[in-house]
Amino acid sequence: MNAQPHTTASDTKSFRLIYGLCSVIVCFFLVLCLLLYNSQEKLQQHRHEQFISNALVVSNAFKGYFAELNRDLRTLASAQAFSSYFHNKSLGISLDYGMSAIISDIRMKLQRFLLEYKIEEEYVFSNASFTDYEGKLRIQVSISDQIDEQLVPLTENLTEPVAPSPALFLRPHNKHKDLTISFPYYFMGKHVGELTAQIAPFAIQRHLQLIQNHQNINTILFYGSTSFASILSNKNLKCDTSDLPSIPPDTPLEMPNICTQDGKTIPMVATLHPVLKNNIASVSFIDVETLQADQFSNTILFILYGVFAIAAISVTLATKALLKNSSLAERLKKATNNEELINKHLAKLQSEIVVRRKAEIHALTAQQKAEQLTHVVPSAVFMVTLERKIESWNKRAEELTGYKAYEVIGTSCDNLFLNTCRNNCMLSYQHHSSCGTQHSLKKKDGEIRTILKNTEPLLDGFGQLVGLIESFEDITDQQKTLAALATAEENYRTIIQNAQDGIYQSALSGEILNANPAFLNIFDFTTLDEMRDSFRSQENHFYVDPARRAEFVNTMLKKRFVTNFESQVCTHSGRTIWVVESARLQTAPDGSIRFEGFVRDISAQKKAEENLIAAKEAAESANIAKNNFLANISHELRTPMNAIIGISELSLHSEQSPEQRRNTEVLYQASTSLLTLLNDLLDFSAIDSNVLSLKYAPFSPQDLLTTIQDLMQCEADKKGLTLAFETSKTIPPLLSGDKERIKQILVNLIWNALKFTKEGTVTVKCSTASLILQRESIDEDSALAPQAVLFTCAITDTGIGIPEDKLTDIFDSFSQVHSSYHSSCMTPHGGVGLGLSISQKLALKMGGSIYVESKLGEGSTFTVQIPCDVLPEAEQAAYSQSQTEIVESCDPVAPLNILVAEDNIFSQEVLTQMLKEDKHTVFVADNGKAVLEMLQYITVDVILMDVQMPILDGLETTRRIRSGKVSHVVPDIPIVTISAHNSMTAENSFIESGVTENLPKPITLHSLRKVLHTLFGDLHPVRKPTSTSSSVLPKNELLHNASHINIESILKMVDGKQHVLETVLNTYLSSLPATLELLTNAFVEKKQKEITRLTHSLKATMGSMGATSLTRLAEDMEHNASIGNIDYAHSLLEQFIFDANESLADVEHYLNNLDAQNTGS
Amino acid sequence: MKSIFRRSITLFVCIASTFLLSPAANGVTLEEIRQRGTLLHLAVPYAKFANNDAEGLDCALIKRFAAHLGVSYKYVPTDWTHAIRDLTGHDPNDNANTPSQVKGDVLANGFTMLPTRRKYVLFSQPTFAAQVWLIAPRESETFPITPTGDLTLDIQNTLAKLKGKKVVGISTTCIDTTLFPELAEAGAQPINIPPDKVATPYTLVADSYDFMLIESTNALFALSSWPFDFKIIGPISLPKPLGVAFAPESTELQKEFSDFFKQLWQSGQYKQLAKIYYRAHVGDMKAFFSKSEP
Repeated sequence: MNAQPHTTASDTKSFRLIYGLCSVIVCFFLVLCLLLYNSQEKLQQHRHEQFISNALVVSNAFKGYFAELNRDLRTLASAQAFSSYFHNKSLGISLDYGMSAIISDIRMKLQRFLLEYKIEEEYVFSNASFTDYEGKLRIQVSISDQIDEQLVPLTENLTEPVAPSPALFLRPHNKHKDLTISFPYYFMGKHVGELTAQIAPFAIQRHLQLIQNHQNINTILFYGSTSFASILSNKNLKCDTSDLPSIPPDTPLEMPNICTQDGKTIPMVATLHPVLKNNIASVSFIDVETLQADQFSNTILFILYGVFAIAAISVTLATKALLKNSSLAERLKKATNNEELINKHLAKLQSEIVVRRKAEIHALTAQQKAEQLTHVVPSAVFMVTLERKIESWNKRAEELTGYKAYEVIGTSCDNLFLNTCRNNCMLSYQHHSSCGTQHSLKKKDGEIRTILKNTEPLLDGFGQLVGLIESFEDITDQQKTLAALATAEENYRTIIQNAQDGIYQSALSGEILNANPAFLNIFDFTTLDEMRDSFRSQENHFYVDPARRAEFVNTMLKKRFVTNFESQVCTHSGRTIWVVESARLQTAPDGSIRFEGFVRDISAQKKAEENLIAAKEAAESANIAKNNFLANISHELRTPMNAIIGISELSLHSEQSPEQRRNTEVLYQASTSLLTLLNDLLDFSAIDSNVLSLKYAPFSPQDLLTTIQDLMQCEADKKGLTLAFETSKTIPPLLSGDKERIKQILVNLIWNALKFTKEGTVTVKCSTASLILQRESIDEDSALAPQAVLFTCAITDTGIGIPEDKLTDIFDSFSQVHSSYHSSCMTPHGGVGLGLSISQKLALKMGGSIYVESKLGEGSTFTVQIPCDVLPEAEQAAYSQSQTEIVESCDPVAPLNILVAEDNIFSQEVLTQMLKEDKHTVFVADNGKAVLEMLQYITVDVILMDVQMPILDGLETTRRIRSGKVSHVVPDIPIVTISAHNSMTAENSFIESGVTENLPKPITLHSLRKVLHTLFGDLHPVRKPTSTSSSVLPKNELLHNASHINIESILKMVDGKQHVLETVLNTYLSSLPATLELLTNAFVEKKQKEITRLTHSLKATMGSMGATSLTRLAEDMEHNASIGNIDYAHSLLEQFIFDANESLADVEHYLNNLDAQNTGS
Repeated sequence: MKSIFRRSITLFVCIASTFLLSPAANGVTLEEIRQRGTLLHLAVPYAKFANNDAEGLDCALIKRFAAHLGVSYKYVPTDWTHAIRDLTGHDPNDNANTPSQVKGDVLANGFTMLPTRRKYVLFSQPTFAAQVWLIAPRESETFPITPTGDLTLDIQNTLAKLKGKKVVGISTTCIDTTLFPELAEAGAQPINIPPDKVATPYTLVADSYDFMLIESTNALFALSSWPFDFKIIGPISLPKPLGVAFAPESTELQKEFSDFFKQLWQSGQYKQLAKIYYRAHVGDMKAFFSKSEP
């Protein structure tokens, strides 16, 4: 009821609003029309300005066009033909003989010029010409109007003087005038001619058309007042240009009467622009009619007004429709209110639906979670209903049973689980959960498995039982494993219980945690508890030596294990036994330390070991005794052998009967062989008893081989064999090794080769090969380490060879392998095979080896390899220098105080003379006691000590001095023994006594100086004294009769000092008879020691005199006397005295001859 | 510029080489050329007749001839010393007459039809003509003659300027001074230089001699290329014909060329062709080109 007045008011308001809007729209259209008209006016003005601008562009472009044409003409002028024309003309070359060709060239150039420039397939230039002002000659070429592209050259001789043309001018051409450009030609600085080109009007039009925009702006070009080109967009457009030049420049004018089209006058607007200075101007104009046709027409305005009217009608109709709609809207409003109530109910309903939906989703989610949970748990899970139907079945259940979920869901669980399950089913008997009940399950494949099952009742929201949820695990394998473990454990337990060794586990404190019966038995316990109780009362448990327990524990803690730890322990019953223990440290789960190991009773082994050691010591003692016995017995044997050899040798000299002589030879050779055998035995004994010490010193391999060759050559010559030495160039000059032992080995091998070769050659090949030694200690200083080489000598003979099956035996001691094969060639020097054995032992001792290759009947090759060090370069140089000093110059050292301890007067004299020769001060003592006494009063630098002296021998004297108990004597004073002993054992005993050096007899001045140089080499050497008498060697004839003594050896001994020689010989003459007398008396009185001393002394004397046979006799007498065989020694005395007397006669003779010679000279 | 001129003169010097040996013995037939499919054009690069790019009047002529034969064209450069040998297979200078390889079918490069050359080769109809002119250094005081329109008179006027002057020519060539006894008669001192000694002909002319002989075609070629380096005094000889040479046995080829050339001449194409390269000469050789056939 109230809605109607409200509607009326609103309608009124709407009407007002609509009318207002209509008024605004009408006004808007009116304003729009006015603006359109105004814009049309401005567009007209803008077009006009654009026209003027375009006209300006045209004029500017035309300027550029002329400039471009001018450049083209200038390019033409640069052609060589024009300059050639003027050059050759200046040289006077005639037209017939040269110039015609030049003119022809110019024509060609002009033609090419005309043909070259085109615009839109039209030639730009219609005519081109060259003019020679002075020669009054013009050459022109034009493109004929009549014939397309036909060039018409023309040469004209001008009769009148030619004036230069302006740069741009109109030239009459046919009926009209063409615009022509001109370019002046200068030659040698003079304006001598010009080039002109006529521009085709068509070309101008084409060019201007190209640069004009799409609008049809007409252009007419003027040269002065003459129009020469026009571009008209409309072909029907006719222009009267007569009045145009009068138009002021840059003035836009409307010219209604200038243009006509089809007889009708067309108004136009034009503007005149100057192009090139004042000569050329362009008039640009537009067709006004065309322009007006493009203007904004009234039709558009009418259309606008129509639109305005339609708009007004539309507004009215809209207003009416609005009124009708207002009532309709009221009804609609009521309907809307009802609709709002409905919507509120709907919203409430929807919210309830949403809540329920959420609850459902929540429940569904919970159910899904539960189901998913059953899938992720590692056990088989399933649910059953009250009817014992399976409701759910997870994947683990599928795996354990082989049944898929779809196969079992809905079926009774009785089909899977055996009666034990059904009998105890919760649904039947109880309604509370069970856990860990064991049942049996029948898999899909029929296999019965044992399972462990948990059951939980499934209740609904009201607490009512709705089913069961159950889980189970297959424990069949687990049960089997446990059974297997139990069996294994039982086995191990049995092994440990039955083990023979004691096995235990103890704590760090020593408490026995576990032990097997054997362990208890070792320690005499019956039970483990008994053992534990017993050990608790003992601090160090069972160890006899408490320190061993501490050592055991420390080792365990440090190394975590102990192996073969031997200890002496005391058992429960009081027995002391030896046990060996191996254990390792274990950390218990609680972190405590435990020892696990075994103990073995080794008392019996220990006992056996002790017995073995005792046996070994006894054997070694026996061996030493044997060696000593061997050495002694060898020495004893050698004495008679010396006698046999000496006598047989003497007999060889005196025996005349061939039969006797042959017998004596056999005797001599057999005895010599036997002596060699004895010497070998001595060496073998020394090596075997390990008393042999090696002396490593630098030596020259080359010198060594030379010495050996000199030594063996004699024997080879005797047998008529060739002894060849081949040495490699790679052998270093100096090696470090035991030279004497190497020499001994090589001599042995070569001697054997010579011995077993009847004819042919014995070849010694020596070389060295680099040797890499494993020297861990010098790895870091490997650069400084000496280089090691393998010194290899191969001795090859062409002898009888050795059977293959005997090759391994030949190095055995006392091997007789050769006897059956070599008997045919055995000589009395054959030996018993110790040589090879000694050689091999020596080689092995030096770290080397000897091996043999042989072929029966063809020969043998013995190869010895000894590792030696190569002396570093610095040491080589030092060694060479020292050798040079010692060997070459052998300069005497600075004067020294020297005590000579020698009981032999001759030796005393020889030594004294030698030492005085080198300006030394010499003190002489007869025996060791005298030495000790003299040392109380004098101070000497060195003592030369004879070994064998009466009262107190040299070695004992040396020992006393070295002991430091001799007052006023420096214990480390250098002591050089003088000895006729030459065996290794003797030399070793010297070293043991503390002897500094040993000087073997016979002593030479050289060897004496060498020893002193070794000891006092750092002292400044004195100038080598010059011989006061003569240094000239005695003449040969003086030596002729000296058969027993060797003057040469004496001279060598005294280094060629003749006056010393004379002194020595005089001493010999004076002292020997007295000594012989003393010796004879001693034999008469059978004074063994005296005999021994005197014969020893005589041995040295005769050695110094080079009396070989006398020396040997003296040695034999000495040896026999020393062993108590005085009678035998006595039997040698007569021969000795006989020979000695002869030697005295020889010496006397020699000295007499020498005196006579000196007197004579 | 001078070095270029020297090269030009060097080419010129080679033109008149003469040969005095027995005739050649090798030839080629049209059938052979057609089977080969190529016409071999021997040429010594000279003036505007031929250059190393196979361009020039004679190159254009032989190209047309090859097209006439229906075969392709191949340019084979040679030199004056070996031109006849390469055409005929025999060197006129080789007294032993040792055969050598024939390298071309026709020889065309403004080859002067000298009587001495006719002994060794066959010539076509004259294809061009050239005079021998006298040139002098540009510094020379001798001024060129003024043409009278009468060639004989112009020659006399030229010779009149030679009294006491040294005129150099190249022996055994077409400018050998012995071919021009009138030089000596005019009081000049004719001097011949062996071809192999003419290393620097321009120096020869400029420094040691007053005048030098040169063929007109080569003179004009040099004049347009290097103006102001020398001047042409006047003519020494009447025009001498130039032609295309063939091996003595290639009579068939020579005849074919004659027929072809006749057609080309009568069509006016040859004159147009000659004007391209020797416009001035063609203008001066009105009598030569005015013939109805070559």
